[in-house]
Amino acid sequence: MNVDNLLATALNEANTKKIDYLEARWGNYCNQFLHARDSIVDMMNDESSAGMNVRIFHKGAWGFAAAMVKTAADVANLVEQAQKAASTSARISNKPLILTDLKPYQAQWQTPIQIDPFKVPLKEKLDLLQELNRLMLAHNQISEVSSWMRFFKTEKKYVNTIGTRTDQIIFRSDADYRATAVGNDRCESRSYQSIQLSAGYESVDAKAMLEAAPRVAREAIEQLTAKPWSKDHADLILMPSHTRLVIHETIGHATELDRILGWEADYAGTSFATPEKLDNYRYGSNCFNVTADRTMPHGLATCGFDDEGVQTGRWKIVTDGILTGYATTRDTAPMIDAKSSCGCAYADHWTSFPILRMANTSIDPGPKGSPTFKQLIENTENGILVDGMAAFSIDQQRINFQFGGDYCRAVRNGRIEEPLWNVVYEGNNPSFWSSMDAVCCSNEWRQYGVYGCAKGQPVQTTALTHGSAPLRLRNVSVRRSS
Amino acid sequence: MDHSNYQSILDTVLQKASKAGAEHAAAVMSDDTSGTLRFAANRPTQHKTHRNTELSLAVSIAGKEAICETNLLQENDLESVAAKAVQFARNAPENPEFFPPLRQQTYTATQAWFDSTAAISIPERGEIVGEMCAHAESENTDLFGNLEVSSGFMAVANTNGLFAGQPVTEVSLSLTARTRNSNGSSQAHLWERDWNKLKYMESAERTIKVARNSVNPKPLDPGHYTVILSPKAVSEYLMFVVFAMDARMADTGQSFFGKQSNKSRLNDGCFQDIVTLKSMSDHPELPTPCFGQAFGSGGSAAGTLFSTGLPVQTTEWIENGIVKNFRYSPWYALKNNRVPIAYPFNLYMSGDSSSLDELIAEVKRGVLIESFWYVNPTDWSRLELTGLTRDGTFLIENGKITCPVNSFRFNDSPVRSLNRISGMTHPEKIYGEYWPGMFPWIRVDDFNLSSVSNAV
Repeated sequence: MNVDNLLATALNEANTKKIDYLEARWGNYCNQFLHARDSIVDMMNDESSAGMNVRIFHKGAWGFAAAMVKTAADVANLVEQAQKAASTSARISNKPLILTDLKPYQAQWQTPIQIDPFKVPLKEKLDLLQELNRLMLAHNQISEVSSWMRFFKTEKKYVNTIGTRTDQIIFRSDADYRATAVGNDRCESRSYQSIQLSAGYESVDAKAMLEAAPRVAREAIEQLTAKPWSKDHADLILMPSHTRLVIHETIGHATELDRILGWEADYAGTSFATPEKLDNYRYGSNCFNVTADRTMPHGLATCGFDDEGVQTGRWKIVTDGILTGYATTRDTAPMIDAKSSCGCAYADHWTSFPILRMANTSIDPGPKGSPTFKQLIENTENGILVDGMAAFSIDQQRINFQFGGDYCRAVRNGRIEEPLWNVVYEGNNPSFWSSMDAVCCSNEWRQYGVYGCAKGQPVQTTALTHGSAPLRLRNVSVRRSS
Repeated sequence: MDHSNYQSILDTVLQKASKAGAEHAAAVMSDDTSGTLRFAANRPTQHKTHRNTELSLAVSIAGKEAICETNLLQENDLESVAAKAVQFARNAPENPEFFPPLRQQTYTATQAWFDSTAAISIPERGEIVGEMCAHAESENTDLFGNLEVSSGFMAVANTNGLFAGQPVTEVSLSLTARTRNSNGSSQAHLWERDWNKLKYMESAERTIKVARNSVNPKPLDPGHYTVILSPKAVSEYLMFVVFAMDARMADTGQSFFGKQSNKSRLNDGCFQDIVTLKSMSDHPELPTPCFGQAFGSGGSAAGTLFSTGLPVQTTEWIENGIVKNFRYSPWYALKNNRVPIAYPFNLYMSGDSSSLDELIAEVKRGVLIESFWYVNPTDWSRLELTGLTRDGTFLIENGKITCPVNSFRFNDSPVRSLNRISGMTHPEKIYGEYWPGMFPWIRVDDFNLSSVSNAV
């Protein structure tokens, strides 16, 4: 039986069994991982996994079943299991869930790509990885180098009992590398900081990667002899390659409504940004504006429809420093009296139950007249320029955090000076963003991806994008290295 | 499917790979049927069941390797995946760290399957969660958590004649109790292979009690304190020690265990002599499968699949404070004349004879920590970690727990902490983030609680 017939069978079963609401999703997940360590290609993996799931909503409770199905009988069995799970949950729940209304859609959506990464000859990809490693290993103190590529192609076909039928194909491509230098008492790494896009192989910029390899190796070596920041505080200038980490942990996760409602209390944590704060809570300074967007070009969380059939969109999370929005799904939005979901349901596999995941979430660039990066540096007397991601930890309500940069340099009297060793800064969430006094103009705005964000039980991972222009925060506490 | 079905599929894909030109091949199958009921504030939020059977095939041709994975298992699908893997391998450069597939191994039979677990039905999952949530409701407390029950089969075969297969079951229960005013919280993780051993109501009752005891935390300044860490917190803290115990990373100066003049710290006494940490193949409370795969860096991903089928054995990582073993990939073990070690299915830390009350009684002023959260390295080569306390942080004064206090961020190193232990209890079973295990409550002097977190 072909996929369309399997999905149609699920809808027929719903009709026959008079099921309140049913949605069925078939997925085919194809991934390719290539990895080179030093001169060795030590990973060439090609994976594919296909199957179907059914989710049923019955008397305020969800039931879900997934399997690799081939026949109408297989689908009927899935529906029966999902029905059993939903009715069991409904029986033990004294607080039924409510869903927002849903519009029906018949649509197709695909990530715009120029080059299918799965059709690029392996030799071309492996040659690039090996050349990157050769360039980095040419530096004496480099002890180990790694380079890798990851390509993802996900095909999803979705139907539900109100008449929606969507077909989507989503691509993600990533290539990156890292150099590790070992000295007498230190081991230090530096990464290239690829931007990571929902795109095809055209996003692998081989020329830029090759040009940067000697610099990346040098910057790893520099950190072997770099000194730590000598003071307790500093003004921080965060590059977009670093802000992705801070946005992700302090804004993206903090404004996921399922956390706020406590649904992640047992695993990923809760949030301080509770519903009574909506539209009145000062999250940051006046120049702090945050937008969520599942439609942004090449965002890793970009798609046409989420995994419960909601059309994706764009909305404000923070407006002029005030908390104004959340990421929501159909079963969480009613709890804050929202009429519709923002379209943030995502399942990382065909075996996975859709859960709430943040959208691509970005800090808006400053308005016209905001400084360029050059001007921001020139206007900073005593600070640290932070590039890339390193150590990270944040409490379960997303307040007390400690983050580090991949490569940091001192800024003195308007000039970028020597590299610094192991910069780790700490802060408390709303007061940290309230200390932001400058964000660069739109010409300086860049987007970067985050892979491997874990949430849910059983754990699911996702990838998404965060963007910002370089920005400055005043008088941030810096941890003194021992 | 039974044993012979898995063997038949594996034999078929290996034959197809050989026919397509593979010199060596190894195939690993996992067949998993699992059910999960997740709940929040005493109501279910997701209830799922799924079955998936996946096959990973590694092939090599003259030292060139590749891996392909699929969940399509008809004969023509197996032919396609074999052809694809061989085609990939032909495009790969030769791997100088090639390690051939294992030959047939000898296994000591272990019991990792329990009918009691496999028999748990969808309605039974609901009854169990319903019972715990009803109790929480009666205590005016909210329960959050996840019950996961799985059963399946893992099997491996290779072109050197190895076949191993074993049925496995697992049940895990994670619970967080929160008071209705949201300022008291507690957490517990349970794990068993045998459903009959899961003391879910006992655990729910204790978790609710600790949450209620933790309400209205009093402010306490950051600083260096004597701390008593629960088995759960010890597990969350010490897993980074095992992560760092990789032979190749140590030998190349990339971890704490290799920091002295490019010589690793294998056989060095890095910790107090009361510290013993091991993975056990025969502990009755931690039943494991009888085989696994090598667990270390170096070699290749295909080499890891070629090493699947290693017998699981008891491994001492730290014995009486001395580093006794590192993790070795098969290739790196061969290069260094060591034995590769199968992935540990558990961790066991030896304890001492003190009771928890005795540990507390000897503390003039200190902090009892039930859980850690978001522990990550700040300096990997020194094994410096940061993280936070959560779900129950209590002040100890003059030998007694006097009140709940705010949570803290810590910045410290397990290397220092495992040299500052002043007391331990017998180990207790817990389910850590990566492994089930048994850990004692330990008392550590001069632990750096570096800043306050008001998160509950």
